[in-house]
Amino acid sequence: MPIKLNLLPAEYVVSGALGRILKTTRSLGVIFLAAFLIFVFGLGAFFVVSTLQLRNAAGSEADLKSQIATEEQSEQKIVLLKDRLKKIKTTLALPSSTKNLENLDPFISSIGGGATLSELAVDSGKADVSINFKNNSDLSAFLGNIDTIKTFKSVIMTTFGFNPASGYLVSLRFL
Amino acid sequence: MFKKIPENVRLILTSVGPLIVTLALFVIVGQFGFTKISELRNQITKSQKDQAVLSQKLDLLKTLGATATSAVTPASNAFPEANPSLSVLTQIKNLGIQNGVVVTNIKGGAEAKDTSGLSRVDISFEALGERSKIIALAKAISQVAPITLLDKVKISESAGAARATISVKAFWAAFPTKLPALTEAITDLTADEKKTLSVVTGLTQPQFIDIPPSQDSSRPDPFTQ
Repeated sequence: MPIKLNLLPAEYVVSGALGRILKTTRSLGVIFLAAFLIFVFGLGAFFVVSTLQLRNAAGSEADLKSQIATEEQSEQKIVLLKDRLKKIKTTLALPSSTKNLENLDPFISSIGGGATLSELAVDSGKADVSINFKNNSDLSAFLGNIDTIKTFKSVIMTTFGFNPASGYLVSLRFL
Repeated sequence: MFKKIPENVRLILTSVGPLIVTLALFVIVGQFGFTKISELRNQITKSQKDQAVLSQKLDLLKTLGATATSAVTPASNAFPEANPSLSVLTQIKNLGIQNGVVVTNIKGGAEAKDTSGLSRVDISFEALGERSKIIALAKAISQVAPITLLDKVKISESAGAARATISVKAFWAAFPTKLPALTEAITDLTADEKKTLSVVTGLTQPQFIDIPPSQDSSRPDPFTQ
């Protein structure tokens, strides 16, 4: 029958449970070391790949920048064009008398031969018209035309006068 | 010193020590490595974004460049960088000739700052002729470059002849002095800008004449003859 001998000194002997823990710990240490080496290798490889990617990206960026630099004149023109268009749009949005004059033009043109335009004053907000009619029929025809005006919100008769020598004087304000 | 450590403890230390050291290295190397890689990835992402912007910008510069080249002169004429009084006066005179209206007594004011923030000059003139032609002239003012707004029109008529006092406003602003940053995107013309551009290209452009410098004529020397 084999005899079990333990020749280790007494201080080298560890209890069974602790021995198993230490053995597991040693094994874990080896596994973690291997994992660490793989981790470091992977990290290093990823670092190298990223560095190469960055170098390529920086190269492409520099190339694009140099191409854009050769198109600087086009860029200047585009910037100038956009700046001018913005300012033109601002200007065109400012109040102007043109619209009032255009709206009033057909009405003024319809004044008959028996009437004279005493005064016409147009600005961006209103138009004042003074017309002299020699007889009643011209005046009636003119006033009959007023209801055809759709381009102004309101028409106010500011003056209505009669002089036997010159006839009727009618002043209208178009708003 | 270590000889005093009991063998049991030494056994525990030699078993646990490598594990602790490896874990510590994991933490230190991991933290350092991840920081560095994160920086690199951020730089790559930024570079890729810049590349996309630059690429789009380059394409746009190539496609929009031709439009800009043809449109920039009419746009600059329509909205000049300096006081456009002389161009406006010329255009008004031309309109007077075209419409058979006599344009006189032209007056230009001093530079003023408009409420829109743009520089403005007020110009007034008198027009003599038939009423319909004067009105045609006044309406045509908005169709010329530099952009001129009709401010006020006052027409009085007697014996078939009309006399008008017309006030207009012309504008200008300095050209931009800076280009956007190289990596800043530029945008294509918007629908609004295209609409404004079509208005601008439809304006009657001012006529500029280049006067060539006079040739160096050799003058005869009367004293050597």
